[in-house]
Amino acid sequence: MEQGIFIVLMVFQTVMQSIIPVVMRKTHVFGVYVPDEYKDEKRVQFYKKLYVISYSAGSLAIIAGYAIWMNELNPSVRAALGMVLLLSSMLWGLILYFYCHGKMSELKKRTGWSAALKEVKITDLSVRKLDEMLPWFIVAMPILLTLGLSVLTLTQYTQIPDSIPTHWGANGQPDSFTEKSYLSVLSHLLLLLVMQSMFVAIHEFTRKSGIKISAANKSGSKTRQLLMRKYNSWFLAIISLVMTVLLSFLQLSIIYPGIFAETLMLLFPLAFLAVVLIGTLVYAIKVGKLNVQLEALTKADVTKEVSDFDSDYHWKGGLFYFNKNDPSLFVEKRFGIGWSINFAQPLGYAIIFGPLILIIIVTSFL
Amino acid sequence: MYIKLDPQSDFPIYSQLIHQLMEGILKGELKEGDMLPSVRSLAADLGINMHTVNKSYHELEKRGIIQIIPKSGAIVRLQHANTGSEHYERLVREMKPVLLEAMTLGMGKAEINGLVELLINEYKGE
Repeated sequence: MEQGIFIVLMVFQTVMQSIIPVVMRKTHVFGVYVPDEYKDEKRVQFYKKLYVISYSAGSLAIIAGYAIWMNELNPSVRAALGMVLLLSSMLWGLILYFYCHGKMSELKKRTGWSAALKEVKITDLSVRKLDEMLPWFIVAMPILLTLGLSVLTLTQYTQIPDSIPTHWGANGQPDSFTEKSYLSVLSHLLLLLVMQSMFVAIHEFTRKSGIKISAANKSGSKTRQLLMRKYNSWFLAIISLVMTVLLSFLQLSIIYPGIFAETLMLLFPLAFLAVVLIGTLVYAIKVGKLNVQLEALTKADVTKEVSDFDSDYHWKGGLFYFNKNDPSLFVEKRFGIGWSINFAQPLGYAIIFGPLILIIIVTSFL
Repeated sequence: MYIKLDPQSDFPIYSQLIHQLMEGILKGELKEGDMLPSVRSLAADLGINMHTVNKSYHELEKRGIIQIIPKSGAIVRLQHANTGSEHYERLVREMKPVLLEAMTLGMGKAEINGLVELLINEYKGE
């Protein structure tokens, strides 16, 4: 069962990783800005194909080998090997990325694609009025559930059994316990609260981050950015809610052991995983579609200008945005689907790593 | 309306921003009472330092063109530069050295008047 889930996750990861060059904007190839008139060149297409084929072939070979041999290994070796293979598949992707990134940069330099382009900083004064991100309190709503459950837990404290589950096995039943204390009965809710707050913080700082418009396609890039922000906002709100539902069920089963049937306890985490995977897939498909629509609907502006954000200067290795003048904390990824942080802003690190550190501290006290 | 700044220009970014906002008002793309974005969001959208946008907004407020509303942004509020008003006096002070330079470089009254008319038409888009 656990192995099956693991293989599904690996296949999912491989598919998502390998389609990146295909679903990305055509003007951003392996982290390198390619002006509109060159985006369909043969050599550009060649590196995209090279990446997709090499990555999926390499990763699928790893997964197939693992699926065939795993039953002959003892469980602890099997789990460790699985992690190693997952990491090597990611590393393989990174190696291919940097190879193609290097080749694209070289090609760009040699052909002088962007030598004539002038860098500008551009925006639409009224773009903020068109922003359709959800209000903060919608994303923060699940926190109410956490607070309500905390109150319930405390009022029921005396009835709660003396051993508190801290881990659930693959069969959906708790397999590891700790002694009852105010901290241990609330620990799951505490973790949940940290995660929910992180989601709200990411959401609100994404709102405050720049709506980036491309000089080479003003109206198209504007529509795209606004839709991306909307999808991102909904994605965060839904994942936060689903996570809350899962942990609420676990908390109820701590307060009232045996309240849910065994099959139900088995189904909750699986349903959670399914919703997260499907959510991610829908998000990726929507973004990919958006990129195709953008091509079809809007003609690129005839210009010899490029947005400062689009130019390669601020993107280290084509992956890391580093611009200390830009107050944006979150920016759209150049390679991959989703958002990355502005590595020149320390607050961005705090929002991502702060909650992780808090979680580690809370769990180490149990 | 679009704002486009050129980092390589001789004019500093903050004054380019001031000029584009004023042009927007002249062209009617920005009207009395229109809301400008907050300093933070405009800086983030343009990818420039917040201090730069802040400097432009304060300069525009000093010049009687916008009114800054703390924490939310700014509103276009035009004060007329009537003869003798504070803004009129400032414009006189600022125009003097430019005129002096033009006269020193040999421009006559007719030439200067012609230039002023040309620039007025340019800003009005005629």
